[in-house]
Amino acid sequence: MITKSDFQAVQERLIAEERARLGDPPTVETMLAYTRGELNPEEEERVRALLVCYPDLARGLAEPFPAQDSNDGVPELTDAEFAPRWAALQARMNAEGAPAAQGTVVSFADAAARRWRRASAALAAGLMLAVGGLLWQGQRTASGPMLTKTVSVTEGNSRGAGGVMPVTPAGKAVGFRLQPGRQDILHWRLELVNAETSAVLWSEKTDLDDDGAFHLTVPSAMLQPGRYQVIAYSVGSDGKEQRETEFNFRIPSK
Amino acid sequence: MTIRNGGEGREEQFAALYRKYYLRILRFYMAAFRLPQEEAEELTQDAFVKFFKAIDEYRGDAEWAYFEAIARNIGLNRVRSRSTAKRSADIVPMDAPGAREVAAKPDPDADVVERHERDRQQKSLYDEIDKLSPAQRQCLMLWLEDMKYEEIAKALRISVDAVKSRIRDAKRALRARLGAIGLPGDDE
Repeated sequence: MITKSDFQAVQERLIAEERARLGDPPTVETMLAYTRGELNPEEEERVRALLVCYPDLARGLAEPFPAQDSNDGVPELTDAEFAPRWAALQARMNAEGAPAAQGTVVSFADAAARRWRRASAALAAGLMLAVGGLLWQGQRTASGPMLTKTVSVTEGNSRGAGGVMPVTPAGKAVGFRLQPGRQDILHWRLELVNAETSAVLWSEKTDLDDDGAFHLTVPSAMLQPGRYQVIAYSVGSDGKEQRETEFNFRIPSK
Repeated sequence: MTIRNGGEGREEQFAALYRKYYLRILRFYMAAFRLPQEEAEELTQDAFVKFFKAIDEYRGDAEWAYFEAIARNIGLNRVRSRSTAKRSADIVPMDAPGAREVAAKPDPDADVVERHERDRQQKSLYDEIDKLSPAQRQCLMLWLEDMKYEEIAKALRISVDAVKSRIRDAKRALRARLGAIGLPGDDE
């Protein structure tokens, strides 16, 4: 009779062969794109095959975090457990020169405030540029004199590293038409994210235009080669934001 | 880092998160990546360091969701790096000294006939698994890793029902060709 140990031996052999055939495991970025359904079918199948032969990664992607606080959930650290670990963390971060080691005190409130200050700065810069007819001009100026090209980017149009819609800037600015599927949201806010540099530009609260789309104008100089994402957040009446959708494009290398 | 008590409860705020989430992250690492506690503790500290450094990106609400994403990414990165290093280390040129010893490690205590029989069974099993459809084989392989149906479904981005039916069909096919296969559910 074939036993579980036979299965294990065969499984090890199959895994070794698949690893030799398929190569290194996918990057974390690729795995996350896979979980979000952003890869094209060929890439998705390749990642699926890789996860099977790197099962620790498959488990790491799929394993849920244990619940907190319920009767059978995970408790908090006790004082006795907390003290040595907290001391070790502080010692380690001091050694690594984390920001607070230089005397900066960070809290979540501070972080949020800094983020919005940065957002404000970006908006201020945007407004300055907008004077020249360039950045975040909004719906009605999309066909202004500086704009020489308008591109429609489909919602969720992300088909992997090689499949994201290419946009080649022409002229001083590129206009983007972005139509979200949801038309029932009153207020939105947009972020333009450069995936390579993680640079982010914010818009102010905005609404859809009469044609049910956002019209966004971005200076060509700001669109260096790389992947970009426009993330659309709904803004509730209480000011709370929720990520609703995204639009992906890439600027090819010249 | 000195998360100082600046009079506004800031140190307490971060410490409270640390106290609240530490074991949750630790147990996740131990379960998901099968890490020994010592390594999982180290990784948990990594997650908190990263969380602190990335605090600028924190959007305000849903602190746990944000922290969960960081913690999972750190774990995946660690395991991926280890897998990559291990894979490189496993490559031994066939003409290298000692390659033969690396490639074949017979159990010196095993009876020759018994070993031959086991090799034959394993070859049959290998051949039959190889005949399964890729979809069935993928599900079976992860199931043999003791992953739950729900986890397999999530990892492969298919439905739980699809996982169940593929594993059931795979086991049926193996049983039909090999007889009893000594796995849970073999008596289905």
